[in-house]
Formats: sequence, structure tokens, C-alpha cells
Amino acid sequence: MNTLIQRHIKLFFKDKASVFFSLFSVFIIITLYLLFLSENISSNLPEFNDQAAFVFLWMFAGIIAVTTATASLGALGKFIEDKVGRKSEDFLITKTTKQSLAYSYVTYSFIIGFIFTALLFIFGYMYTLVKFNITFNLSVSLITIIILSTLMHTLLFHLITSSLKTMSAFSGFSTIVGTLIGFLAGIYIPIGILPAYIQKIIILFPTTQSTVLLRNLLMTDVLEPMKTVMPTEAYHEVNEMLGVTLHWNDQLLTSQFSWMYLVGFTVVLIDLVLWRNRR
Amino acid sequence: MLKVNHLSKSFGKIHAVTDVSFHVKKGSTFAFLGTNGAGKSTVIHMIINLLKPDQGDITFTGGTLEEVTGIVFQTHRLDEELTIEENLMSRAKLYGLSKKEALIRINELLEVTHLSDKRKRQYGQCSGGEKRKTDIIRALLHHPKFLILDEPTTGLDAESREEIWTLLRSIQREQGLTIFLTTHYIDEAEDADDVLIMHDGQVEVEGTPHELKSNYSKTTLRLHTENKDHIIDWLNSRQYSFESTNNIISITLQESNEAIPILKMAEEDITHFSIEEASLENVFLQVTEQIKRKVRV
Repeated sequence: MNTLIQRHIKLFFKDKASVFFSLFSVFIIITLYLLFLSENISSNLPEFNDQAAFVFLWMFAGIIAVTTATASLGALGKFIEDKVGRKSEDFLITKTTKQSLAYSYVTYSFIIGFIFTALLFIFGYMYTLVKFNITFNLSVSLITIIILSTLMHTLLFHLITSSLKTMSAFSGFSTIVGTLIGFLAGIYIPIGILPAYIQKIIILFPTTQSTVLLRNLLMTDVLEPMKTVMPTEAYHEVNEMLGVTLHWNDQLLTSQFSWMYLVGFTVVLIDLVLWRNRR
Repeated sequence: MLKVNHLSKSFGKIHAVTDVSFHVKKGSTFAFLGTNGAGKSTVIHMIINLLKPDQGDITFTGGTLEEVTGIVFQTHRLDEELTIEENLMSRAKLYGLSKKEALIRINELLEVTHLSDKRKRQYGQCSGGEKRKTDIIRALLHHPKFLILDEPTTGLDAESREEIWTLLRSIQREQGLTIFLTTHYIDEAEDADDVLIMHDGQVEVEGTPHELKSNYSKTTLRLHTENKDHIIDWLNSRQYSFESTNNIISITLQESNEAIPILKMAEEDITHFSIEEASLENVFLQVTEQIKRKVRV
């Protein structure tokens, strides 16, 4: 399986278009941030020293969550390409089994997703340090969320793309995901301004849980200063509106809930992938 | 080497293969022919275990399927973006060869195929002939005893085709390979030990090329003459089977050397002559024509 994983990774990095489109959603978010999102969010916040850092980190947590999804999905293009080009047959006539071939694609796209997310994270870490003089706490929780979110998205997209039979179907699916994921994870538009039923749909979407957990961890240093300049109620309202905290029928969804949801979702996906690739 | 017994496969209501049986002898070349859609690819996919037969069984002797079989697919399956060497190395490892073993084998096969100096060339930038040679090396990496060639020369020019076949014959001789060949160039099957022609998922005819030619294709001598009567009298007296149209007499022969006494006799009367040898191409055309007639009836 290692040989196959190495082969997939080598081919992925040789294909510049795959690399670019894996990060396409990230470029969209950064562009939106530069054009109006930053100003739009800032206008809803009170004046305080770390306001710019607050907005950047809010967006950055979203970018990290989205990258765990889009980078993994971009990598899975190789899986479809091999299937369409019938290269899988060339592997299956060796000692490679259908199971190990399928798991090689899952492992490879997880690795690509993790590499891209880690690189973006390092970039964001440096930028935040230089621009705002803020250092994140590199906790086990933070790394675990990134790993879990990448794994969850890899498994989810592997299951979906397994049923695709053409490259154009895959391109169509990638475009839909790339376009919708920013909305579904509450990044393009703050979740609080959407109608209640759409908020519920967004909450059910697992990427949202990754985003919320990442926001909680990455924004610790900017949430406290904001709390000091606002009435408690207004502070909670802003957090709810921006999706730093989530509510279901006025009930606050805790971090523990988000963890459980994410872990539960991933476990179900693992079972489904194992079931789909059973002997 | 390979025994296929009563193999059947359907896709929904379509019977792709029906009750196909044959036997490929060790060290032989077996030509597996048929028109497009005859079911050849389905049989091959069942032989290499990419498709499960609905009925029947396939038995290999000499080891497991992966150990025994190498295949050159109809379309190229190696990675265009990787070099010849990278492609071969990755596939060799999938057969469980160590890096050292793989390198020795790759060097040996690159040498045989005269591709040693092109090992660092990207596969996608190779010519059709070079790609095909690389595909053949890839199929031989794990020392298989049974080589499946699925239309190995399709899309190649005559020179490359000849080069590929010279290479394949020398490899077969040196390594004692059994070759299972499908091709649309029927002349490539002339040297086969056994030939099977499929149609509509069933075995239509099977035998050695000699047997098939005897049954389905005859050698024809054509004489162009201004003085037919003398020749026709002579042919009738010796009970030759012939047809006469305008100034041409077409005589059916069992062997081409039967033409010699006829030409000697007719030397003074003919303006020119031609001989059309019995060929597998004719057998194939004859069999497919026979099938078409059956279908019409």
C-alpha cells in the first residue's frame, strides 16, 4: 500500500492544476475577506484593540476547516482519474487487493489534506505573530481537530466519489462543494444572519462543528479583550451571530457536543468505508 | 497452462459470454480472435480475475494468477507524468519485488528492449512504440509464464509493429512464455499454435491455423488468358475445381505448389497469373461471412 500512496502523492504534486484547485476555496475566502468580509464583520463589532485580529482569526479558523475538506477532495481527483483511465485494473492484476487500493486513496488524500492544512496553519501562525503579535496555543486539541476534520472529510468524500464514474462528474461535484462549503460552514456569511431553519441545516453539517471548535481555540486571545468592552449579553449575541458559538432552539451547543458530533460522524464514516470495501 | 471450462457471463439481459471452453498449452501461442463486441475482453477480464464468471471455471497451472500472469492491456495504463523507470519501479514493488530485485529486472528488460537510454524519459513523451515496449516490460517484471497481449500493436505503424513482434518472439523463445493474443491484425496470428474465433459471446471455430485454413480458406491460382479453351479442357481432364469469368480462370488448390504443373501446361496461353495463398485473414472473413449468412437465414 505504501508504494501506491507514494505514487498517488508524487502524481498529485506533478499536477499543478490539482494543487491549485485544492486551494481554490481558500483563495475565494481570502478574496472575499479582502474585498468586503473584513469590513462587514468589523462594522458589527465594538471598537477594541484586537478587532482586526479578531476578524482575521475568525476567517482563518474557517479557512483551516474548509482546507481540511477541499484539499482532501482535490486529492481524490486522482482516485477518479485512475478509475476512469482504468489504471486501477493495472494495480489489481498485481498483489494489490481492492481493499488496499481503496485504502491507499483514503490514506493519500488524508495526507494531502493534512499537509495543505498544516502549511496554511503555519502561514497563518506566522502572519498572526508578525501582524498582531499573537501566538496560538499549539495544543493537542488543535492538532486533533485538524486531524479529525481532515479524516472525516476524506472519508465522506471518498464514499461519495466512489460512485462517480467520470471526471466531469467529479469536477461538477468539486465545484458544488467548493462553492457551498463556505456557506455551509458559516464562513462566507455569518451564521446568525441566516433564517433559523438554514442555521439548523448548517449546524448539522459536520464542517461547521470543525469551524466552531477551531474558532474557540484560535480566537481565545481575542475573545477575552472583546468581552471587556461589551455587555455580557451583547458579547454572547455577537458570538452567536458570528458562529463562534452555536445554538439549537436557544440551547447553547457546547464544545463537548461539537467534539462528540465530529467523532461520532467520523466513526460512522469509518464503518461505512469499511463496509463498502468489505471483501 | 490455462484451462477455461464452460465460462458464461451476463450483464443484465445481455449474454456477453456463453459456455466458452478452451485450453492453452504451455509454451504455445494462442490467438483469441473475434469481431468487436464478440466477448473477447469479457473473457480476458474473467481470466485475470477482474470479473467474476456467472458460470464455469478457470484453472492456471504453475502458481497463483498474479505470479503466473502478465498482461499488456489494449490501452496504455502507465502514468504519463512519471518516467519509464519510475513507472516500472512502482509496479515492480506491487508484485513484492525488493528495490534491488526490481532494479536488476528493470535493467535486464530495458536492455532487451533497447530502452536503457530512455529510462529517465517521461512515459507521456515516449513514442507509441516506446510506450508499448514499456508496457511489455511492465507485464514481464515479475517473471510471468503466461503473457496476455490484448491488441498489443493497435495504433502502431508497420515498422513499430514488426519491432514489437520481433521482441515478443525473442522473449517467448528465451523465457519459454505462453502467449495469449487478441488482435485485429489477423496476420499477427499466423504463427500461433492454436486459433479460436469468437462471435456473439460463443466459440465459433477453433483449431490450428493449418486446420482452419484447410476448412475455411483455399489457395487460389488466377490465370489471365486469351485462349481459355485449351486450359479449361486440361483442368477438366484432371478434375480441378475452377471458375471462369471473362478472361480469368480461378483455380482452387490445396497447396500452392500444385500451381507448378498448371503453369507449365498453360505457359504459352497466359498473359499473366497470380496466387492468393490461404490465410487466417481469409479464414476470419469466411467465418464472419458464414455467421452473417446464418443470421440472415
